Amino acid sequence: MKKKKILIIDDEQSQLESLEMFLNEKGYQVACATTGSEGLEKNTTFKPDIIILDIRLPDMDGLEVLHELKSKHNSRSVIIITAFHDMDITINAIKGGACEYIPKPIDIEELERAIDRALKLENPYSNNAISLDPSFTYEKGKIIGKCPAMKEIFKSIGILSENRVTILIEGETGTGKELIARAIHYHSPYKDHPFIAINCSAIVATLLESELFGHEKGSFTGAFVTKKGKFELAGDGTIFLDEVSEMPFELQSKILRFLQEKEFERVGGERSLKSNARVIAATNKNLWQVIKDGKFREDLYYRLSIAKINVPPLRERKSDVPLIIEYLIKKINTELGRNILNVEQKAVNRLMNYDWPGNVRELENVLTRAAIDSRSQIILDEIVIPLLGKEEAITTQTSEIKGMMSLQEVEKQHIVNVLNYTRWHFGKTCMLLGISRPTLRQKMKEYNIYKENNL
Amino acid sequence: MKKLEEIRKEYILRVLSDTCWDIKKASKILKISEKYLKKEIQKIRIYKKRNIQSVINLPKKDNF
Repeated sequence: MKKKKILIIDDEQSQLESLEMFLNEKGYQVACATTGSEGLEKNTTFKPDIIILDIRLPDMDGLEVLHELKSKHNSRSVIIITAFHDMDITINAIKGGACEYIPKPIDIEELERAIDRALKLENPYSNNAISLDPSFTYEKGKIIGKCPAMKEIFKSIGILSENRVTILIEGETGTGKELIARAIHYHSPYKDHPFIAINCSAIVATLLESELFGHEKGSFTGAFVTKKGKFELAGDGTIFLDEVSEMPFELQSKILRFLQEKEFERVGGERSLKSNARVIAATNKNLWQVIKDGKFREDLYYRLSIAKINVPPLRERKSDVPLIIEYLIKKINTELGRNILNVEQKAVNRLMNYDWPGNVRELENVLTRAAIDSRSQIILDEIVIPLLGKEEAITTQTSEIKGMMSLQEVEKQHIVNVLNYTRWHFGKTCMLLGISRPTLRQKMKEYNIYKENNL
Repeated sequence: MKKLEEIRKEYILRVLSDTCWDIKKASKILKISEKYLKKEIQKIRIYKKRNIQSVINLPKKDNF
């Protein structure tokens, strides 16, 4: 492999020498300059991969040099070193395009890590799972997925947008229930009519009724004017009832009546009004459980779920994660005005193996934070790691519960967990546990692990 | 998913720290003999040492 070239620009002779020695030992080809102008000169002749730049130089300002390097020589990786902990300089240096910033006295490990990272940035196309095609522009509100479950959903959207039956969308928080509702609406012949989304848990129970159905002037304190409700406003459009499980019990019967008769009254109103609006409801709870608890009407459930769409959680469609990342990065680029082009392979693997309790929404948040933290066009693994802290918190919590178990019980529990995880694939189980197949068989016999009692 | 060996180690260390390294108490909770526990601790000590060494072996600062 060709030796990587590093140019050090620093006015302190002793530091220059020690850095040179250290980096030579590490197998880099090193050139030194003591002034800014010398540095710029050497940059053109030596053509370094990485430049380490001291911000204070005898002949010119380090920031000026940085600017020069960036604008005229198109140097990508500049690591800034300074003795001053000056926020202004830091900010200006990062804005000016420095990829790393290290304060004096130099921690040599930190410097080495910075060089490693900078080298990764140097050849952004080498080791990256996701490289964006710049010609591909971001389209708002797209649903991304190639896995069979998502294809089924696309099919349902196609079929359901042709008719006007009531739909119940079930799925965990952040899986994109509203997105699907919107897709159905905007693919339907009624797409020019309004799509009105309302979150049943966000509005106080007493207000929700007037919000949905409207009220007559003077029907209650504060009702100074007659107000149209969402059902009236929707006309031939679509009403999206998010978190329908939170809807107050009394209101449920009114919704039920609307679904059956397409008729409703305003609060305090005498006339029956008609509306042709289509209802799409969504819930992130298991509605059957809510029904059992007596908080949701069973008959309303049947009315709502004429057609049902189940949105799978992100952890059940991990193969889609790279695709979604690609889409989200485009979105983030347009929203934040960033130009992230790549995601490192290691980072993608990490994201694919994460559990995603918050699903796509969480993925978007993690990527947004990563894009903000990232100082270049690439999202590195190091940036992603600290953003995925929650998973560990959960595992320590479960080990808290274990409390006073014997060593054997802990072992057994873990083996059963891994077996269930691999769906009783012994080969994979052995690999994950790091034991041989005979050992696994012996342990299963010893701990009485059978498929029937544990699935 | 963690390896079986790791789970064992982690759990043994946890019980030990919960019992302030009282071998007698810890072995009772773990339902293993004191002798066996001591052997396990020996194994963990070696494992730990190796881990610490890999941290120390990073570049020396003497050059500076």
